[in-house]
Amino acid sequence: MGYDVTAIRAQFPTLERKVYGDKPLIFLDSAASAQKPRAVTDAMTHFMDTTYSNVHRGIHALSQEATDAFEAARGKVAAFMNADEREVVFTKNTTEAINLVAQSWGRKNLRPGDEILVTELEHHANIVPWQLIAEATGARVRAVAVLDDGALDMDDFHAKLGPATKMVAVAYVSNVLGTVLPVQDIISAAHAQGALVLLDASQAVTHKRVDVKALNVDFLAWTGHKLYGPTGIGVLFGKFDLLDAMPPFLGGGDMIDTVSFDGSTFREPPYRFEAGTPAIVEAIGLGAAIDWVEAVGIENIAAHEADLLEYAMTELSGANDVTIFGTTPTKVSVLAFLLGEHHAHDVGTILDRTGVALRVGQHCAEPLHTRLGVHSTVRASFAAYNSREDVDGLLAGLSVCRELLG
Amino acid sequence: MDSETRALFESRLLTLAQARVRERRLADATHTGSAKNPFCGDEIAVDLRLNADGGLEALGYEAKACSLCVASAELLSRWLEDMQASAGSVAGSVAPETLHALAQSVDLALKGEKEPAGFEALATVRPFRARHKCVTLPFDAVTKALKDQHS
Repeated sequence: MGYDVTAIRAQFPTLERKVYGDKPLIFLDSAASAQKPRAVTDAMTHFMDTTYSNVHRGIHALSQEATDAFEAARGKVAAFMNADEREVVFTKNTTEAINLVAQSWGRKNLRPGDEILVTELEHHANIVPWQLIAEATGARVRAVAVLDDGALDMDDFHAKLGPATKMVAVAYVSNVLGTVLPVQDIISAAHAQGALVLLDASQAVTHKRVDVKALNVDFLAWTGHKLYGPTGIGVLFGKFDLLDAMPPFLGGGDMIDTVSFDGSTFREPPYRFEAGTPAIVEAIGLGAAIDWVEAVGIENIAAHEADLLEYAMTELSGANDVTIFGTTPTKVSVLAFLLGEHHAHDVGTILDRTGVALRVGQHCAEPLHTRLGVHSTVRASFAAYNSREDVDGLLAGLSVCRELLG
Repeated sequence: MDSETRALFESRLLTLAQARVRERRLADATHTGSAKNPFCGDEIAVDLRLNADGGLEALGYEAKACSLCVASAELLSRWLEDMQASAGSVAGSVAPETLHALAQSVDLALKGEKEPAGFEALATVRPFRARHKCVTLPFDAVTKALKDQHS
């Protein structure tokens, strides 16, 4: 049986609602945060109703059950990206995961003159943490150029990659353009120079199978809420030997072996990096989200989204007043564009009133917009639950924009 | 399309923004400030010329911004001209405190209070909370300019 988007949509209660009175919601903002299937909210509610307790430290039945459920969620995350459970650190989100590596690994390993390579298409979450640690250590952040079509300039990458490069921190998928970066080539080249690689996989795990062992990546960060899970739970993958050599990021309960006023010693990874009570219910929710994605099939979702992207690209390309940003063949279902000379916020405001929810602005990627020579863009992103009718709704909304904006 | 959206995009604000008749930098500015909306990247620079007594004599702006921001800056520029022409101003200048009060009035108007005279067109923006910042951005630049003093 083919991909049944109607059955998929029926699992997302939010998609049933209307906005501004009678307008059916057309949700095209999943790159910012995805809607949640009932399986996720049910799992979280069930856990809170039946099993909730703090984890790792209780002697009572509930605490042990909660710990089992929490660690089972870690196991699901590990299996989802082909990692060892000891290599899965729960964080608040991608941003915290990257900050963890920058502050922990960076503070220990970066020296004046060292270089951190990022790209012009990064989300601010993969720029600012490196600027902060560079300022603290005397290292330098350099950005690899992006070509006009949204592809990474690999000549510039190879030119900037050198003996001084200690960390290559790049997006797996651009959150604005949808461009899939050639991460395998990047990792191989970086390792040949002795540099480590961190991938910001926030926009990748939702659209494609990510296998950390096949990639041989050193660190990989992503967040749960874009993968149909709850907010407040993110993931840092790190090779165990690297994590084990890193000092703690935050100090507190649950991450220590011993504490005295002469000093403290710390647990092994991943617990060393999970100070305090973790996001227990959210981890359960993330585990349920992974179960849901695996049940549908990430490859099936990717194929469905590719069909939507092709349909939307074809329709928008046919309009002579639409400029699409990011036209590489290797692209997931994230579509940035502008309508004529109209400001993205004017377009977004009108689309919103037609029921189309999407993102306008710089999408936390100001350097990329500077590179593209635009202030802001309109971004439509398609997920497992979107349909061709949603694309048609976007096209109809753009017609209203043309009518009102001239 | 609903009446609120139609009212917004068919209002005088868009006409003002398209005309941009008062957009210019002041070569003899005494104070300059700029403001940026981090969500959309819109930027506006405001130049002020204050006289020796601290009275505001002239205002110029330059914007890379949306229609609502530009319209707001146009309304602000025209308000100053009206104030200077009124009997309430001293020797064609306006006290900075009056500008501060205006900024507060505009902010309150977006939240539901009555719009200050000359800014009635902003009523159409009120239902669009995500766009309020577009309107207040020029005032943010003015506030920064008033803290600035050219050497």
